Amino acid sequence: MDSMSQAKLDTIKDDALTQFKAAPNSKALYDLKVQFLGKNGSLTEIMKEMANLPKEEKPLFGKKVNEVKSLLEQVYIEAEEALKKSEIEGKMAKEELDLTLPGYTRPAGNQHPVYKVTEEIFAIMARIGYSVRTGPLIEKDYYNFEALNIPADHPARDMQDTFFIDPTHVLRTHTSPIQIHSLESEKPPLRIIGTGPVFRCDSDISHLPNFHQIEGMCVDRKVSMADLKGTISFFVREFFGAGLKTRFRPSFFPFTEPSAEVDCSCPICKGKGCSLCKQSGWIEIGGCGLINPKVFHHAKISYPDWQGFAFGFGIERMGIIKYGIDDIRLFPENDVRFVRQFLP
Amino acid sequence: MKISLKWLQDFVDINDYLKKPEELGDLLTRAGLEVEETINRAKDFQHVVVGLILEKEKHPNADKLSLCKVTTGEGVVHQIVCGAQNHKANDRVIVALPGAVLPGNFVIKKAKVRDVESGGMLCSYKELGLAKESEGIAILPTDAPVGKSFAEFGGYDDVVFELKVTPNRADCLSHFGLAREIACVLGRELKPFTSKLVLSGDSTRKQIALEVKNSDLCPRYAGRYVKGVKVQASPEWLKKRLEAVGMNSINNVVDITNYVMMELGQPLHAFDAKFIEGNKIIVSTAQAGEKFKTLDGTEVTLKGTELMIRDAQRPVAMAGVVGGQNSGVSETTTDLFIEAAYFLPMAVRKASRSNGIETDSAYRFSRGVDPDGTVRAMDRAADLIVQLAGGTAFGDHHDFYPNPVKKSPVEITVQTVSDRLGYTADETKFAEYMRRLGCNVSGGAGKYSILPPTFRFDLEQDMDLVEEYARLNGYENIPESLPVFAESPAVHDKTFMLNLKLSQMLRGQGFSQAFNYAFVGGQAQKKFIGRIAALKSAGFPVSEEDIKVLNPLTEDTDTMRSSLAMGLFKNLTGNFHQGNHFGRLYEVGQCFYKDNSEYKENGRMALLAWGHSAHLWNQTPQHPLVFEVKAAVEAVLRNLNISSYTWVTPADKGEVPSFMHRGQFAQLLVEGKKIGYIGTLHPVLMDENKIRVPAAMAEIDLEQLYKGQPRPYRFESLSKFPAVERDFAFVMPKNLKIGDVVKEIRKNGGGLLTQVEVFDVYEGEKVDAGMKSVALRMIFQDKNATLQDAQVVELGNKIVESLKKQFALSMR
Repeated sequence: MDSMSQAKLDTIKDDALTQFKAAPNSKALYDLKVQFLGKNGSLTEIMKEMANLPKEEKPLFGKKVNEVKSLLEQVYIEAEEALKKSEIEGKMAKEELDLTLPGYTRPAGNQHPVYKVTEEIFAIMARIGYSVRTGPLIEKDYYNFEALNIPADHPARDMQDTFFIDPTHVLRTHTSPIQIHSLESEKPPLRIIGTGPVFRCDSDISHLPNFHQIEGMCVDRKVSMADLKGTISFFVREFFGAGLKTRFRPSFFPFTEPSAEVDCSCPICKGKGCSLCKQSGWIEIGGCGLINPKVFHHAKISYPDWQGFAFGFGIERMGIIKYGIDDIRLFPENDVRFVRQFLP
Repeated sequence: MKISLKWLQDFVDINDYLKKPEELGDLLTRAGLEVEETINRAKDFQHVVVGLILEKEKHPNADKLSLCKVTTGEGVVHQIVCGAQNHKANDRVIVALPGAVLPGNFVIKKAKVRDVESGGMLCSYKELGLAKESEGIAILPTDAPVGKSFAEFGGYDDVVFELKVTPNRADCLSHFGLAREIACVLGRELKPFTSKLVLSGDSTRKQIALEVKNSDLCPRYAGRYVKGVKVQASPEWLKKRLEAVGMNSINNVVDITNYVMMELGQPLHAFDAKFIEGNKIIVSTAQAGEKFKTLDGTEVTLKGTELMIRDAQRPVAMAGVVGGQNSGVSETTTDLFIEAAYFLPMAVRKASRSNGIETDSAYRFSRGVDPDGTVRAMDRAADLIVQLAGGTAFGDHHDFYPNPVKKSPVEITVQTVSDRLGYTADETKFAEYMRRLGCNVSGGAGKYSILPPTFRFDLEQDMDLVEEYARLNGYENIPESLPVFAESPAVHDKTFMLNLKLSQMLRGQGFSQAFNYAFVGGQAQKKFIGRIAALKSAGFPVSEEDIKVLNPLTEDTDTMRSSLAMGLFKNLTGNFHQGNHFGRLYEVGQCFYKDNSEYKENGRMALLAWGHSAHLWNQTPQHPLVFEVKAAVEAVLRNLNISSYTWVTPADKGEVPSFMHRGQFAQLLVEGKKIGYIGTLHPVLMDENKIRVPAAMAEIDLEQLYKGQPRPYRFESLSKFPAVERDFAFVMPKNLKIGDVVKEIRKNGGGLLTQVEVFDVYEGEKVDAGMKSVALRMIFQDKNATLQDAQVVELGNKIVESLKKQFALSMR
């Protein structure tokens, strides 16, 4: 074999290897590729010299050139990969961001706690078959009082300080008129939840003149106090948390008989006694009872063929208990710092 | 209502509870008579006893202090340092021993005072919280028993309950009544009530004549004459009992009538007999317009419906409510006519409410006084008067009671009790409970007829007795079960559900929920809105006439709102001045109007945006906020699948409500109907309220918005063919509405034009004055084929030509 050609091939190989490795960037590397491996590159040139070689040496030389070529191609690919990698690293280093800067977003709005509580209670009760109803805020005296067994000049009217619109219309003092509307327009069996704003002529640090209630009514063939207790107990556990107990105390509402005040074990101290429950371990959450037959009579529902129970809660109060809101007057102020605290 | 436990002791033995009154309170609460507070004054005086000073010397290390040896009985002697000067040896004093806690949380303990051991404190009345000021320590009478607890000695060992009595339990509005209830709850004997009244042979009926004209309002009227009384101060025991239940002592006669009311629950009235003109009492309704002066000198003009007690000339008392000034008891009174009656509860309540006179008497009468207890109470009072004020009680009293009140028996089965309570009621217990309640019980084998006593106005039907059983057996014994699922599935109120959905959309747009009162100040609302016609023009149902609250708390809440805008604006003011310079609020609520004298409600939503958020640290948003509000409203429209809507600016600026910026206001038309508005708040309003950030608002009628909901929609297949974008720039007059231009483009673009976007609006040097340059991007796409270039060019030309024809615009 021609030692000169061999020496030339070796030189090309060594030069190429050295230069490939030293290439500063992918552009320079590519230029080197063209210089050594291109159409008019060094290896193509040396292949041309093969014509001058003796016939028997040609295959060997050809083989050697090809070996160098594939070696160089391999080295090129490796060098190129290494270069690209370091180049992208450099680029990313330059693009470094301070991720402690605030995020880019338009935050979703928050739900007012009154409606958050409403929706939670609604969702819980819907699971056991209650459907939601609403009613007018300016209510006929009949629906707000008479039909609920609170006749005119009855002392039970003193229990609710009433705003009057005219002698026969009031701003509803409770959501219970919704029960009557439902009894009049729908056929039992019924399970309904009535909710919305109510009004009482009363404003101080613990009362709003315009607040919200939610109440439930179940009318069926056979309904007992035990059913009522079980229903409320279910609700309390779902709304305030498992493990809380429910207690009934005898009370009086003209539209239920028997009537009960509902206490649940204090969700803050779990019944041990704290400032919220005034050390009693119990907290009053609402009222309930079996629907008074007189109410059925007004609504022209046949009793005892149909029986029922009803219960009601103050929504602001539920919010105060569940979220520890310390001032009821925050509800109508709508300070965004207040509303923002109620997570979806 | 305040109840003294010592007083209760007169009628039921509760000795065992005096040391643990909280337990009795709990028992009552669980029986439905809520004890709201237990006032135990003895607690304030624990370790405070009567002591005797054996020796008094000067303190060795202090001139102004004395060193006393004080015994508290049984040979116990305490050395006590004292700073007062008014005591001497052999004085009986009040000693607070170590462990006592005096008012102001002042803990008494053994201490060294100027190096001398002191084991307690000699107290003044002020230190015990019994006087505002006192001179030195209290010196007790020489017969004060040494060693006795001061609470007991001073009569401060009573426990008082603050009782919340529900309107159905009028029978518990007295000590006797509550004792009866306690006896029932505890299963104890009620001590019998006996009277030792001695009557003279004289006739009350001859002395004073009686005529009851309205026996429907006054079913029972009794009276007794007492001659020769001496009106003077009441004895201490009487004063103390009245004080315990929160009543002031006036004189012995008045105090006795109050005492009997608190004891038996029967309000009484004592007339000075010499002022009963014509020696005649007439019970009849008032004459309308008649004047009547009450005991405290207030003059009322009678409506004519009030039941009055009159003499031959004039009214002398408003029945069951208040006595007249013309006939009250005074120091000069010698002869009395004592009235005890049963007035119809509703009549008394009406008279009391309509004249704004609330008294303990009216409170009891309107809840129901036992018609069977009338004479008993009258004679209890006569007895006490004779004992404490002297005089002679005449016999032959009046007792007008033509139709004695009869209770109807209630038929009930024990099975009913079991069914309604959800557990098996015990028949023996049932009968026992009914008897304890004072009912007449007949029947057996599960079926009973129960005759309730006259004092239980609330026992009328079987369910009332079911409650009594449940109450006496303990509500805690009611088990828990869940009713069987109703066969009809839940169908929710549509508007409620849509409101929930709407709320969610608005929160998604960055708005937080607000709640404002449904009533506002009428004057303020008029000023805020301006012409109500402006709201009408925006499509809202409104009425010229406001709906007023007859008895508002303040003038800020005297009118039902016509718009949600004012409430949200109030929230804006409040928030801004709290330092919240950025915020987004929405409210969903009712507005009110009158329609042919009917009250109507209109559901609305309103949005309020103020201030730009510090959106991102490298840019400051400048866009007019009204576009943010607009985008939120359009997001709602899109989510409700409402595509056919436009925004119009009314040509008549009188249709812009007063609180809106006249140049930045538009009404929303959905399918040809106006349903609301958007706009920027009026700059003067902002300035007046010192709000220094921009703010915009929207208000939409929900009844209109929800029409046809849910609007069904179907999936549209996605085009597999490429879309072509074309940008156009037009120069047009500044006042030309881009919305109109886009509408025209859509009209001509047909089905191939899928989108039109405004991507630049320019006004300035590069265009003529009064003109603006608007850049629009149109996107064309065919669902079924690749659009040919020629097609797009042709469509583009058609659009441009139509625009040029329609509007004064040119291609840029």
